[in-house]
Amino acid sequence: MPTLEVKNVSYAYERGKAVLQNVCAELATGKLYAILGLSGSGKTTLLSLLGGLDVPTQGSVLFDGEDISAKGLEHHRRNHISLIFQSYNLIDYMTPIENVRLTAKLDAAPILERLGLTKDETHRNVLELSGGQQQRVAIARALASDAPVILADEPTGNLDTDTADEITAILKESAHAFGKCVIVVTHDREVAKQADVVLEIKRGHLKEKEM
Amino acid sequence: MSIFKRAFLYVTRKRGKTILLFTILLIMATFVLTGLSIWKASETVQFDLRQSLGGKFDVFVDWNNSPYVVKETVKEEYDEDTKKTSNGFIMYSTVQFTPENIAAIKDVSGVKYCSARQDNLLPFEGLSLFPGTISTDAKYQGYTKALGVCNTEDDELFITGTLTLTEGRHVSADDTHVAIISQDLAERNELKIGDYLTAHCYSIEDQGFTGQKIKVQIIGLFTPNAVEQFGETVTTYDKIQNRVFVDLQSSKEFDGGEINYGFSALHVTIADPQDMARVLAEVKALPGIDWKAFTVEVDNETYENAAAPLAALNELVVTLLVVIIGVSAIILALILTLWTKTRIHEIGVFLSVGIRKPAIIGQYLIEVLLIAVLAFGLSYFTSNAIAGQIGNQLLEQSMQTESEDDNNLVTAAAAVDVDADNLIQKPLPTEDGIQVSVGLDNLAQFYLIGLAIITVAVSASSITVMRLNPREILSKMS
Repeated sequence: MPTLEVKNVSYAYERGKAVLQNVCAELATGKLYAILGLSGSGKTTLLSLLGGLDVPTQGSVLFDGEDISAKGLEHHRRNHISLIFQSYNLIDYMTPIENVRLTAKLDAAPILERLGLTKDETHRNVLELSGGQQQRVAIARALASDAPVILADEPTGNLDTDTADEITAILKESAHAFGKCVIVVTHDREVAKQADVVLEIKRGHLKEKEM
Repeated sequence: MSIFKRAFLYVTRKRGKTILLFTILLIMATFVLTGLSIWKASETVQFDLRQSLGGKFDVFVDWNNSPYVVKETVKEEYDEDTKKTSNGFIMYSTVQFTPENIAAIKDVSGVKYCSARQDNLLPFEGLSLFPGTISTDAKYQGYTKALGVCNTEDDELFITGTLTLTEGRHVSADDTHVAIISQDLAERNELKIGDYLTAHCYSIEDQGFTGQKIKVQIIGLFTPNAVEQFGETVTTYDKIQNRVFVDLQSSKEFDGGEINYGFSALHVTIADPQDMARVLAEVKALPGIDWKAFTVEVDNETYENAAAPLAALNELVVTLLVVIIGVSAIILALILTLWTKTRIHEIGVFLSVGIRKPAIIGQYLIEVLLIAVLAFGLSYFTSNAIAGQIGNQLLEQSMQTESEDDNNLVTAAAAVDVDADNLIQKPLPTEDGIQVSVGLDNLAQFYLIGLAIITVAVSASSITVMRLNPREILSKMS
C-alpha cells in the first residue's frame, strides 16, 4: 500500500481557473520523488495539499489508505509530514539543536552530527550558520520528527551547486537509509536526476517523466 | 520542546524586546498599583471615619401628630412676684419607650448604642451644687437634673467620652435606688461610694411635693472630660458636675410614676453611617413599638460632610484606575499585535511542524507573563515610592477639606442648638495619620488584574494568527 495517495485531486484558486485537474499519484516510502514544472504550474499547491496545509477543491489525499481530513489536517501535519523550505525556515532565537528538538521524536544530536554539523555548530545561533548548514538543520528537524513523509519545496533553491548536490544526496539518503517518502518540488533538473521517480505537472495534469 | 521552554528561550534571547516590554509593563504596573494603594487607603480612611463618627438618629414622641399625646390642665399656680395666677398644663404621651423596646433596638445589627433618659428637675436634701453662670428662677435654686436611665454605660455622655466613670460602677438595668454623681460634687459634699442622697418626690399633676422621700445610694463617680462651650451661660441644674444619674425605677418614683413610665425619646448611635437606611428599616419593623406615637430624626450630616471629599477622591482614583487599566490593555494589545505581525515567519514554521495555534498563543502569553512577573514584582517598590508621595498629598488634602467642613459644622450646630448636651463640646475623633503604601494584598490584587490585562491583550493581538490558515501564512513567508 502506498504511503500517500492522491485521488482525482483538483484545485482552483478561482472558479473556472483550475491549477490541478484530476491529479492521481501513488507515493511510497523509501523513495525520493521529484516534482517538476514551470513556475505557477501548481507544484507548491500540490505540496500544500499533500502536507495538509490546504484542502483540494475536488478529490482526496489519503495517508495509509485513510483520507487525511478524517483525523484532521493538524493531526496529519503533526504525525505524518515534515516540511523543508527553500528559505530553511528555522526559528531565529534557537540554536540548531533547539530547532531540531522543536518537534523531535528522535535524539537530535546524532542526526545533526550525521548531517555534518559539529557539536560547536549545533549550539550556535542558527543565523550564524551558512545556507547549506541551515538547510541541513532543516532536514535534521524533518528526520528527527520521525514523520514518514518529507515534503521539500525547492530545498536547493538558495544554495550553490556543490551544496545543492550535498543536500540532494542527504535527501536521497533520507529516503533510502531512513525509509522516508521524500517528495521534492524543484525546477532544478540536476536535483530531479537524483530522484527515483520524477513527476511533472503540465497544464494541471501530473505525469511520470523519464529522465 | 515544551511551550514553557519555547517561551523562556524567546524571552532570554530576544533581549531588546524583553527589555522594552518589561519597561512598558513596569510603568503600567506602577500606575495601576499606585492607584490601587491610594484607593485602598482612601477606603480605609473612609471606613475609619465612618467608624469614628458613627451615625446617629433620634426617635421621639411626635408631639404634633401622635394620637397618644395628652394635654392636661394642672393646678393653678400663684406667682408671688407678679401677684398673678397662671393656668399650667402638662403634655405627655401615653405611649412611651419601655426598657424592653430599648433592649430590642440595641439588638438590631449595626446599632452601637441606644440611650434614653428621663429628665427630672428636683432638689436633693443637703446637696450643695456648683453654681451656674446665669441666674435661675428662685423656685429652682438648689434644683438639679436627675437623669433616669436603663444603664449609664450606654448613655450618650459616657459613650462619647464626655464623661468617664472613675470610681465604682455603672448603673445597670437591674438596679433600683442607685445613683452616679460627679467626683467634684462628691468632694464638695464629702460624699463617697455607698453614701445616700435623698430626693423629694414631686407630683407633676399636683405641681407640688408629695412629702415622700426617696433615697438613692451612690454607686459610682464620674469625671467630665469636656468643658462647657458657653461656660458663661450655664444654669446650675445644667452644669455637668451637678448632674445625678439614677436608675429608671427611682426616676419614675421621683415624679410619682403617674405619667412617665418610660422614655419619650431615644438616641441611637450606629456603627456605620452607610448602614443608616437598613438599620432604620429594621428598627421600624421591630414588634412592640407603636410608630404612630413617634417620629425619627436622622443625623448623618456630620459623616456626609466629612466623607464627601474622600468619596470624591475615591471616585477620581477609581475612574483613573479604570482608564489606566483600559489604556494599558490597549497599548499592550497594540504593541503585541505589531510584534505578532513580525513573528509571522515563526508562526508558519510552528504550524508547519504541527504545533497548534492555541499552543502558539499560549507561548506568547507565557512570554509576556514571564516578563510581567518580574515587572510587577519590581513595581511593588516603584509604586510604593510614588504612592507615598502622591497618595499622602492627595489624601491629606482631602482630610484638610473634611476637617474644615467638620469644624464649620460643629460651630454651626453649637450656635443654633441650645440643648444642654450640645453645649458640652464633645472630644472629636482624631486621625492617627494616613498610611498610603502598597501592601502585598495590593500586589496580589494587581497580579490578578495584570493577568487579565495581559490575557486580553495577547488574545486581541493573536486574532490575526487565529484567522490565518497555514497555507496563507506560508505564502506570506515566501
